[in-house]
Parts: sequence; structure tokens; C-alpha cells
Amino acid sequence: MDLTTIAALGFITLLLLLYIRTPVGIAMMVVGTAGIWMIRPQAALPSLAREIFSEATSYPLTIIPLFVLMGNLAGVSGLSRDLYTAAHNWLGRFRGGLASAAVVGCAGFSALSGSSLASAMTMGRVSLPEMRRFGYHDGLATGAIAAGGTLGILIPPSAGFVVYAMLTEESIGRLFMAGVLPGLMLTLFFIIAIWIVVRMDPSKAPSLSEDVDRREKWGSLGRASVMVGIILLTVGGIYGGAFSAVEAAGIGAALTLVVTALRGKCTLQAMNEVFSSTLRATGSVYLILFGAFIFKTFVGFTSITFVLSSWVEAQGFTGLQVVIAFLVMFIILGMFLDGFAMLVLSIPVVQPILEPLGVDMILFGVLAVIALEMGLISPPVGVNVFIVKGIARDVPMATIFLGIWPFWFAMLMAIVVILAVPDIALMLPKTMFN
Amino acid sequence: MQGRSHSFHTSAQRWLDRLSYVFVLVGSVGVLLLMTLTVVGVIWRYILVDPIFGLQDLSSMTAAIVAAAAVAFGATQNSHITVNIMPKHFGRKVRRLTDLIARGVGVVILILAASALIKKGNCGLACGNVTGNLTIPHAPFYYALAIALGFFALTLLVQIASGLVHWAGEDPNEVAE
Amino acid sequence: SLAYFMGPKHPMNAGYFTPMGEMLEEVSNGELTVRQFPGGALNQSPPKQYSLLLDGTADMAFLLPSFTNKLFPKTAVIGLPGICVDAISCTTAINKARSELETEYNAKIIGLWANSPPVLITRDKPVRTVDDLKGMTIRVVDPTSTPFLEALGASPVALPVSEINQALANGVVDGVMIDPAGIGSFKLHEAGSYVTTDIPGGASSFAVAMSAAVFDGLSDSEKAAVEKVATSELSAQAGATYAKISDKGMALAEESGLEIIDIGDEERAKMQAVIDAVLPELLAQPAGDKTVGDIMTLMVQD
Ligand code: NA
Ligand code: NA
Repeated sequence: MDLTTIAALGFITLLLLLYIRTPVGIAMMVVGTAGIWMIRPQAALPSLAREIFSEATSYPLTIIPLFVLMGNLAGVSGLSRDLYTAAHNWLGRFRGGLASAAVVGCAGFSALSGSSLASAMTMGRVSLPEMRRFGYHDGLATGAIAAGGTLGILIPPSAGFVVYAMLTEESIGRLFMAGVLPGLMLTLFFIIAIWIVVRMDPSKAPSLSEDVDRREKWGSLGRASVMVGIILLTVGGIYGGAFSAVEAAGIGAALTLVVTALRGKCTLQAMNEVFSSTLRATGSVYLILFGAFIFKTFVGFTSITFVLSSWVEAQGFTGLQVVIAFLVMFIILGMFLDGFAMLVLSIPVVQPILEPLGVDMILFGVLAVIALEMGLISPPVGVNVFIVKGIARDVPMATIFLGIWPFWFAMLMAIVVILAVPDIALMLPKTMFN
Repeated sequence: MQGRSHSFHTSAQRWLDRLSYVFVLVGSVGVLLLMTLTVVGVIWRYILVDPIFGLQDLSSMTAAIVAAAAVAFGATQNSHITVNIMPKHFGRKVRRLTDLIARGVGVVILILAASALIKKGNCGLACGNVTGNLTIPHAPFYYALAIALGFFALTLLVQIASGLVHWAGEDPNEVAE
Repeated sequence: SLAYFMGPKHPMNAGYFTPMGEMLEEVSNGELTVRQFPGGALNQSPPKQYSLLLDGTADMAFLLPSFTNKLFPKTAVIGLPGICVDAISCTTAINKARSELETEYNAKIIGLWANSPPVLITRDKPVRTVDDLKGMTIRVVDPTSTPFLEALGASPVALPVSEINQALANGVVDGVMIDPAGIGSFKLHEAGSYVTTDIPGGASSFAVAMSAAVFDGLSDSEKAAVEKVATSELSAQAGATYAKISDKGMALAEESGLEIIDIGDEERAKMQAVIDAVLPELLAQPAGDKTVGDIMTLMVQD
């Protein structure tokens, strides 16, 4: 069997295994190992062991347990709640303001958490009941949270960027910095989307929450400033070069732990929950990476990327055209596949095609993550939508998906704007350490 | 029949739960250690203006323990990421069969991986299996990963057995939608 | 057919790997073909490469022995100062000791070359004299240079290359020792201000090796073909390629406005005196079944 056939067979088998709900990491391990075995039998098992060990002992990857711990601690310590309260107190009296507050709360929480699901879940629990109390339209309310949650993997820290960095051998710190401005821009686009929706149909955000007094406003801002301080220290520290991304995660986790302890929230039960969920999230990232790297090795063995890249070159496509083609593919695939699965499955093939065309892999990382976020909220399989559905059980799925569209288009706009002005993503990584 | 199957599932599950608690403990200590190593490294560098030699070696090896514990614990929690696009109308019979296949291939690859890790670990210094700076031997960490993946395989085996026992009824390990 | 790995971006593609494959094919009359796996079949973790050979994943691999000096103590001798001055002479030197070095590999060495000895890049404080080094924290390429820098009053530290730019920029280290070929790759022309060309350090080694099991399994004519490639001019060409990259690195530093500092003969003599004081103890140390001195003698012989 020739190598291209083996590669194609590998991809088909992988999709089949994913379809019958084999965990993504396991499916990639199976296909990767079997594929290598077909090409070079003696290399299969040693490669499997080598890739597992080398990911498990990778120093950059220690960032995952550290910032997941930070995010979980922020949850139990009430830090993330503080942030929502402040956003609520300041934005609540504007039309549609509660939805905007939910988005801003998600953005803030995203700066402590690397996962979109955690952002949507945490902010959903506090802000959904509030929006429903004030008669917000279910679609707008759930859409804002599902979409806001996706900021979790664009605004650093981000598990998506870490996985992307590992696979492409780019710097985690630079990718994190590249996500900052696009993340803020997308937050703004979401708020604009909310404004347009409410403007077109004011009944979707009928009443305004009662205005709170000045003292309460500043008080809530003061409480939220603890979390903002930790965020600024960690993100600023990476940008200024004071410490690496891994170190920032370690310091952030330690500071959050101190705050949690000072607030008397370090109960045995809370810590059990924090560490269990930290390990669950960490374990799922590691398993995916074990699979991703053995699969990447298999892809390397097939030389398929060389074949594809030569073909692309022969067609004379430009970098921009190919980037757009891949993004469209991501957006479509993202409708069905889990974001992580899509990333680890496609990057080993996509990178060797893009790099010879001179595409900046950091810029592409940001664009890919936004495309991946669109998949998180688009039908038929939108993981974030399922999370929100879990919180608002009585809202029909169709209503949530309908409420998503304004935000989905906001993301598409973000991609277009970043393609037109790449410096939105690249400015911070370019000026780091100065 | 119902009673027997129930007791099988619960007793096997109880054992896995006990073991998984060990992984939670080990993993939590590992995460705290990682955090401490990182913070100490930064403080040391800024106050004593001298990076600690080989600190990353310690972090890497701790990471192996955390990764092993986390993957093993995740197995008992069904928290590893899957893609849920199989239409519900396929019905229970089809799902029972696909679950059996998915878990079966999982058992095979995990056992192969565990044995490959043990074999690599055994090679030791001759294969260059030490950390770059502090010359910490890799072998114990290969074994830790092998144990974790072996445990993952065991979890799947219990799920297969319990799935067969409950073939006609509700699979207690059915992934929640 | 031989499987063979390398990273996708490696500058040595044209400098060694491709010509080596072509030559092997030619001298074996097509009996041996090398299949390269471009596109990063494996990520570039240097210590991993040797294990690829041992576990049978690859028939041939590109090794960076300097990353695991403890495993290859004889090859590590090239890291001592004073053996050679640039990638070309360092490659010549390391190849003089080749048959001795080969004993520490469970593999057949096909290509062996070295890069240029390092320069010192500083940011805030120029190093113009031996005394300037006192009290400076300096990143060393590998532990071989440590005793010399300590004797000069500096504090040597080990840092992975991926971190040197940041460490220099935020003052974690005062200076970075690196082969000038690395200036461009790690953007040190942006982070540093001065380049001092005299600093006690030696070259890093690079090797292309064939697994012993694979080599033993070849026919006599195939073995002869491999031997022919191994003893060809290709290694020297690889060294020359490195020398060119080093020159480019220095040129880049100069264009970027960094001051290139030559410490002058007088200071050089002072530095040499310090080196000579430290060297004897090092030379007496064991390197496998020989001493460091034995290996160094081989490398500097005529
Ligand atoms: Na985040
Ligand atoms: Na989707």
C-alpha cells in the first residue's frame, strides 16, 4: 500500500473511531500507532512510548495544571463572582446591559481560566438567573453566555493556545500575547452585537436593572480589583518579560490560593472539588496530546504533508488564499467536531503547508482559535451551547442556537478584521520584552 | 439477574473509586509541588539573581506524575474528551455495540502503550534516559505513566464487563448527554 | 532503504543531509536509498534523537551530542577552549579524534562536524577587559566552560536556548555565550548591545549516525559504500556551512548596530593565563576509558 493511501485510510479510521465516541486521545493513539506499524513495524511501539513520555515530561506543558488550578481557585474564592458583580453594577442600567455584563464577566473570567466551558459555566450560573429575572429574551441571554464563554480560549491563558504551541513549536508566551487584543476586540464586538439586537427589538431586553448607588458601584469595583490585579500582574509579567508564561501561571495560581485562604474559602470540601476538577481538565489535555503527537509522528511517516504542500505550491496559491481556505474548513468542521479534536487533527497537516508560504503561525493560531470558537457555539454540535442548556434546562435548544447568530457573525467579523489588520494580533508579541 | 449485575457493577466500581482517590491525592500533591517549584524559581532568580540550576528537570519529572495521575483519574470520571455526533435515533443496541468496540480498542492500545513504556523505562542510562541537568533517571516516571495507562485499561475493562452485564438495560457508564 | 528524520526548518538540509543521501545512493549503486522525513515527523527534542536509533524507529538520525555531554564524554571535549577557532577548524579537529569518539556510540558515525566557538553578547555592560567579567552572570553553552568562567570571576548559569533572549532582555543574565550562528535565530541582535569575540568556550558537536544493528546487517559492499560516505568531504562541507551561518550572524549583529569588541592581545594573554591555570585539572579527568587530555591531544594533533 502506498503512503498516501495509508494516510487517507488513517484519517478515515480516525473519523470512524471518533464517531463511535472513542475518546479523542485514544483514537489518535490507535490510528497513529497502527499507521506507523504499517509503514515501519519496529518503530510503532517505541514511538508510542517516546511521545507519551516526552509530552508528560514537557516543561512548557506544566502551564496546564497551573492555570487550570488558578481558574478553579478563582471560582471557589468568589473572585470571578466579584468580577461579574462589578460589571453588573456598572453596565446593568444600560439597555441590554445585563447581557453585556455577562460578556464582560466572561472576558474577565477568561483571563484566569484556560477553558471556554469553565467560562460559560461559571458566568452562566451567576448571570443567567439575573437576566431572566429582568425579562431578557432567552435567546439573547443564553447566546451572550455561550458566546462570551468562548473568549476563554482566546484571552490568555488558553488551553487552546498551549496545545497549538506544542504542536507547532511556537512560543506559548507569544501566542498568549497575540490573543490579548483580539480577545478585547471580540468582547467589544459582542457588546456591539447585543446593542444591535436590542436596538432592533427592544422587547428582548425589556427592563433595566435598578441603578445601584455610587458607593456600591465603587465598592464592587474595589473587590473586583483583586482579580484584575492578578490578571494584570500575570499578563503584564509575560509581556514585560519579567517571567515566562509557565512562571506566570505558577505565580497566578499561588496568589489566587493565598486570596482563597485569606477569604476562608479553603475548606476541605472546596479543595477536594478544586483539585479533582483541576486533575480532570489536566488529564483530558494530556491524553489528547499523547494521541496528537503519536498521530503527528504517523503523519510525518506518511510524508503526506510533503505531497500536499508540493501540490499547493504547484497551484500557485498565495498564503492568504490558503489561510482563508483552512479557516473556512475549520468553521465547517467545527460545526461537528470538538474544537480540540479539530486542532490536533488538522495542525500536523496544516502547518507544513502554511509555513513554506510564509504564513505567520502565530497569526494563524489566533485566527484558528477564533474559527474554533465559532464551532463551539454553532449547530448541530456546540459544546458551549450544551453547557448553557445544562444551566437553563427549560430553554429549547433551537432558541439558544437562534440567539447565537449575532455573536457568530461578530466572530466572523473579528476574523475579517484581523486578516485585514494582522497587527491587532501581532503587535503585542512583536513588542514583548521592551 | 438484576441484583447480581448490580452488585458486580458496584463492587468493581467501589474498587476503582478507591484507587482513583489515590490518583487524586498523588496528583494534587504533584500540582502543588509544581506550583511551589515555579514560584521558588522566580523568587530565587529575582532575589538572589541566580537561576536555580536544574529546576526545570524537577518540574518536568513532577509533571510526569501529575500527567499520569490526571489521566488515570480522568478515566474513572469519564472526563476524557469525546465527540458526540452520533444520532440518538441509532438506538440502544447499536450504541452498545459501538461502545464495546470503542472501549475494546482503548484497552488494546492502552495495554500496548503501558508495556512499551515499561520496556523503554527498563533501558535506563544506556538509552540516555536521564534528565539533562540533574541526571535524574527517567525509569520511575516511565513506570508511573505505565501504571496510569494500565489503570485506564482496567477501568475500560470494568466498563466493558458492566456494559455486557447490563446489555439489555441502561449502561451505568453511558456518557451523559 | 534507510529511514531518516530531521526537523522541517533545519539549515543543514542543503549543507549536509540532502547531499549525503544522494552520495550514499550513488556510491552504493542504488542499493541504499535514504528516505528523509521532512515536515517534522518528530519534534526537535535533541536528546530524543539518539533514542530513535536505539529503539529502531530510525535507521539514521541527526544527533546533538553536546546536549547530553554525560552520555558522550569523549565528544564533549570539543567544548574546551583553545582547540579551534571557527566551525571549519573545529570540524577538522573533532574528525581527527573520530575513531576514538565513535567507541562511545552504539552506532556508526557517518557525519561529524562542529560549529564555531561562542561569542559573548551583553546588554548593559560591555566586556572589554578580563576584569569586566568579574561578577557577571553569564549563560554558558554547556557545562564545559563553567570552570573557566568561574576562574575569571563570573557566575556561569545554564539556560535552554529558548529562554536566552528573554533572560538577557530582563537582566536575569548579564551576558549570553552563543555560537554567532544563533544570533539571528534567537533575535539576540534585538536583545543585546555588545558582542565580545574572546571568551573561553569551545564548539558544539553534531553527528549523523546509523544504528549499529542496521549497519551490521548491511552487505559488505553496502558497508563499503557507507564507509565511503563517512570518510568523504561531506563533514567538512557541513562545517563550512556552519561557518557561513556564523559569519552571517556576526554580520547581522554589526548591521543591527551592536558594538563588536576585540579585547586585544594584552587582555587575551591575561585570559589565556587563567585558562592555562584551570586546564590541567580538567585534562586529567576521565572521559570514558581515556582521559580528557588524551582526547584533546588527538584533536589538536597535526
Ligand atoms: Na483564558
Ligand atoms: Na459546532
